[in-house]
Amino acid sequence: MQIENALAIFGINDDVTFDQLERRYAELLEKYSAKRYENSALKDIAYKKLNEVQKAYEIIKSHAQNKQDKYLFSYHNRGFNRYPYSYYYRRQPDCGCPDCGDLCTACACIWATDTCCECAGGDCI
Amino acid sequence: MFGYVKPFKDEMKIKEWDEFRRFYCGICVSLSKKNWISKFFMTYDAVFFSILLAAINQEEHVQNKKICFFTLSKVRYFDSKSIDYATNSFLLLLKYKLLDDYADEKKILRKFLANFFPKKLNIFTESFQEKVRILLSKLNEIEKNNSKDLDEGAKVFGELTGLFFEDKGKTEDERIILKHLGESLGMWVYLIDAFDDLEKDVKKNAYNPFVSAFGYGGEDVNEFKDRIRPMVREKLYSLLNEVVLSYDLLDVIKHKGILDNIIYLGLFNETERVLAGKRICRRL
Repeated sequence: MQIENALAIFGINDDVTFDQLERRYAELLEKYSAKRYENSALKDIAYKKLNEVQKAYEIIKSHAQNKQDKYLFSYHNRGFNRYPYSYYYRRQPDCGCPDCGDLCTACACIWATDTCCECAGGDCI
Repeated sequence: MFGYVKPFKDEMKIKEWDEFRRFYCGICVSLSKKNWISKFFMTYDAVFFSILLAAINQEEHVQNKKICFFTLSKVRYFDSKSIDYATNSFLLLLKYKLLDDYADEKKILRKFLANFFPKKLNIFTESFQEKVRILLSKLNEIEKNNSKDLDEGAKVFGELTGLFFEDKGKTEDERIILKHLGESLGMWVYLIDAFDDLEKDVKKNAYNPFVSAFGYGGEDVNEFKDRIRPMVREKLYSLLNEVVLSYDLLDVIKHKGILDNIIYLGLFNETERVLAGKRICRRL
């Protein structure tokens, strides 16, 4: 079984934490548990599914890069630090990047751009 | 064929609701292409069936626009193979139901309407149609004989729905699951419809499985309903449990939100509504 198929069985992408994986695993175990399908005619198929889930779990575990890390094998390990959306929309002044200081700097930037543009014959605002 | 399998709208996301409407309009358009009159018989069950098929086959839909003369507005609707299949099976059932009613009660209007149906529903094989005919006549016989067994009629009706569900499975496992799902859902629909129509049937002196199974002896209908309600609830929930168990084994990725809503919330909501004897007070 490929790692992609294993992730598809779990219904997760490769950017989740270990906690989320464990939680999902417990959920699936309960969903296909033998106790639930005790009196059903679909007992055999449920058993097959359960085995599949267990196999997929082993594969995902073995592929996870650094077990100490919070994330399984995410973009964080590929040098791409994606931050949550809330940071993006509400940048604080002390976010560390040089571009967004305060409102004054931003206004000055806009003014400078507009002047440059008008000098060149355009009209951006 | 009865309109009990529908979503619980309050818990739906707006995008899911939009998608559901597009399926609904798709069925309606597809029906009117084949047979204009059957549009008025349309139910939510056919919509659920088409969504389930689309989810299993992971189909891509073509979206179209059209001006609807009933709502007088522009509607968007889907067009796909699964919708076509659901429409065809709905028409097949409806046609034989109408002919059956004519043979039963000699209502000329039914026969008249049935004449408008296309002579051949090409996508079904002759043996499949024969199976449907046999099951429907079996059902008719059970109703005529006034069978005392609660499950007898329900089982035949479940077999009928299972036949349509089973036909579309890809692997062997999927066929088994779909058949089981169809059978238990059909039984549930048959029984809930019988409980809903109890008063009407008692008045008309028509066949109702609950009347003969629990021994209705001329008392007040509401008292009778109160008496049998715990047994009926247990029965309906045990069937719903089977539905949920078989649905859980299906690999559904597309349209999961709508199907989850129908199976986990809509059916339970509908069961409680019918058991309490409430009428629908608003359009879905």
